[in-house]
Amino acid sequence: MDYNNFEDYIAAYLDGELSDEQKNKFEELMESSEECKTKFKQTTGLLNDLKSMPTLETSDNFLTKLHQRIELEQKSKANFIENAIQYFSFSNVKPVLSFAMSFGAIAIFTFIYLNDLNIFNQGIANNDNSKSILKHESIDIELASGIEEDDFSIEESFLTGDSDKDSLEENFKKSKTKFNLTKIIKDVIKEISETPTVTNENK
Amino acid sequence: MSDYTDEQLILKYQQGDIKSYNEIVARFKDRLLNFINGYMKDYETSQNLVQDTFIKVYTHGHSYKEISKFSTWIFTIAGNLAKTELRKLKRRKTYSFSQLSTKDMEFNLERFSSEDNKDVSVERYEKYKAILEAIPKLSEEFRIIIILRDIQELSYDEISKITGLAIGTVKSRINRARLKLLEMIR
Repeated sequence: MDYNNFEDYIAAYLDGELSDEQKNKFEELMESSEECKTKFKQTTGLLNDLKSMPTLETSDNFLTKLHQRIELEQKSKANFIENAIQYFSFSNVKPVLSFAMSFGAIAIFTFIYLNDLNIFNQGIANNDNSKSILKHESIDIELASGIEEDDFSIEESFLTGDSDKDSLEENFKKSKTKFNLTKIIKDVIKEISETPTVTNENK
Repeated sequence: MSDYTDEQLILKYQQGDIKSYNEIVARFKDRLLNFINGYMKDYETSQNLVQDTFIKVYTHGHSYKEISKFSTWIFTIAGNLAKTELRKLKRRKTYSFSQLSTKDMEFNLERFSSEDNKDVSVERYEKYKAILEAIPKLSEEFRIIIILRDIQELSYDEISKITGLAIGTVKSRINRARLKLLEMIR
């Protein structure tokens, strides 16, 4: 510690953090140097001014405003919870439910339409009136993909079980169609080809 | 109510005593205003942030644990809110620190020369005026330390916790901040 770094020790001296040896040296410098003494006095003077200096005060309506804001905060919190409950309540789920139900209905209808032909055909096979249709008419499936009508035309002979399956399948192999509908139609034909057997047994 | 320590008051508030909360507000509102104003240098913004701090205490009072002093806890909340607000303001390019500090410094001096402070002598008032003009011009690192240590009279340990600085750093910084302030008011 010397005249040059005296000021670095002022805070430590004021806080009582200097060792006895340092404290003695500090006081010695203060007594021997007017400059050091002035620096010390200025610092203590500043500290007194900072402590006694009037400070900022909150406005008179601070508390009123604070409580208003707290009330608003609580209301908005309550509203948030209320909105959340309302959002998940039945009234708001209704449109979602309607949409889900519509979608479900369409899905079921499509499923039956595409996959449940078995039931449909079974019904036809067991119905005498429907047999006449199977005997006298052919099922024509028309596609808009440029496939010739004959490729999907099923002759009465196939439907009554007179034809053999191999020739029927050969007929399909000739078909130019490559997409899944072929499989569906094959399944339909298979079902239909089995139908006459059942009716014959019944007879 | 005034006999209770800050820590006792917050514990009572945690048990549902709203009067204790109001006492906390009364004790800390002006201290927090001066602290936050050290960051913001804007009276209205600082006052709003003090309210934000008390709303946090109101809503999150239960999260205070008696492992630290209540004053450290509340000053830390206030400091964090002020720093967040400062970051927001700095992102908005329209905010000008120099303009605000001059305007608010004048406003603060007007407040000090109001009826409440008529007992202050002319000489002292001039000193205060010089200090008030100088403080906003200090760098933030010095300004906050001066406010916490020499105006709020917090301990080094508390300041270290509030600012996140090492105690050694706080001590060396307070000495340099005082010397800088003295240099400015001479």
